[in-house]
Amino acid sequence: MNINQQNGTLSVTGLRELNAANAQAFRTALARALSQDLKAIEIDLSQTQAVDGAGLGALVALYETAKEHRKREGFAIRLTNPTPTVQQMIELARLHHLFEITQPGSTPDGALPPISLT
Amino acid sequence: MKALLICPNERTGVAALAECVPLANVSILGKTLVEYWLEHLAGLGAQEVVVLAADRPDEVRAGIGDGARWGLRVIVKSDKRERTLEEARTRHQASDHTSWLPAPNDVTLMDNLPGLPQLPLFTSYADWFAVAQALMPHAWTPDRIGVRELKPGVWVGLNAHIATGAELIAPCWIGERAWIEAGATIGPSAVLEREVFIARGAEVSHSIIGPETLVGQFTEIRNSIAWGSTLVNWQRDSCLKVPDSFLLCSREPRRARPVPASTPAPVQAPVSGTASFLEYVSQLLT
Repeated sequence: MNINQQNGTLSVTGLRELNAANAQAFRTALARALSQDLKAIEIDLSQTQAVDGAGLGALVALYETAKEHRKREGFAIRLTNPTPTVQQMIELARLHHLFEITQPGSTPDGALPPISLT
Repeated sequence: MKALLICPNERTGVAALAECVPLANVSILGKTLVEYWLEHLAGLGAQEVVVLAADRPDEVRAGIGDGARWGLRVIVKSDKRERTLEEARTRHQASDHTSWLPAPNDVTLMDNLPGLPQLPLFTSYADWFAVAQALMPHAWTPDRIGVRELKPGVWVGLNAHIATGAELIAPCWIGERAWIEAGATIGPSAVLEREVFIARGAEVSHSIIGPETLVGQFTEIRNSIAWGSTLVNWQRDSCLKVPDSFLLCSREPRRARPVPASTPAPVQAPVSGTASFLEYVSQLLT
């Protein structure tokens, strides 16, 4: 996992898993990296193959830790490019309502057109 | 008169769910696929039905018994692979000159529901979901003992428990012995099969929840098919085994498709995490 800060954006990349094995380390590392001048946090999930409840809990903990930052206009926490299965876990736990999710090629949700049996 | 039913074996479009249950035993609004077909064949005058099953024939046999429920004699035969219609006719009719139902009802490959050949079930998860949605308004038939329409477009099965404070949004189907806790929201376009448990605050819409599945507190299932711990998003065609039982799991240990003896047994991951953050998220969202 790599953490970099540039132009007010804290970027997390190279996260191969976010689960019970590394959730605590993730929380600690991110809490230390939060500086007052941050404008955004971006967590790149494109390489993340596994997320479990502990990992989801770590994301929620980050959301809570950054509550002072979130009060600032324009501040955002983004989860970028989650793999399809990771996105399913995020949605199952309803975290997509808390975080901005950026997914290239994503389409808005919607129901299928109705099919008539007659 | 006799008839043959061929159970679908492997279908790549719904492979993850075929791991959970033989496709002939897939429950669709409270009845399995093979039950729909046996009922249909009995209505056409069949007296004996041979069911050819290449995938988990014991489970298919256990699901339908001897056929007395439909006034039929049903024999489930184990087969090495799924037969074509012509193969089945050659193997089973050529040596048996008793009376068969007229074609095409003499031999059926169960890839759709009776009378709905235009709606394939197993080409994709989206197709499966579409069939369940299309069938929902027509599934409340007189033989469904105990099913009632609670309000327009909301059907509830026998001995289902719906707590005060749970919200049901039409159209939705609540299977028999389902249990819905307070604060849960079901629908629109939701199907809960039998003995589903929906925990407090969970939301299910545009989805099917398979039999004996537990949906955890404050979770959200949308545009998906959940079967035990298997979660499929039918819109994006992505499939996940949920690792945490407090999010999604089977209420019963499920028999998996048999694996070759040389394949090592999968290691069961320990349950990890806690559900407390879900309640926190729920509080933030209200």
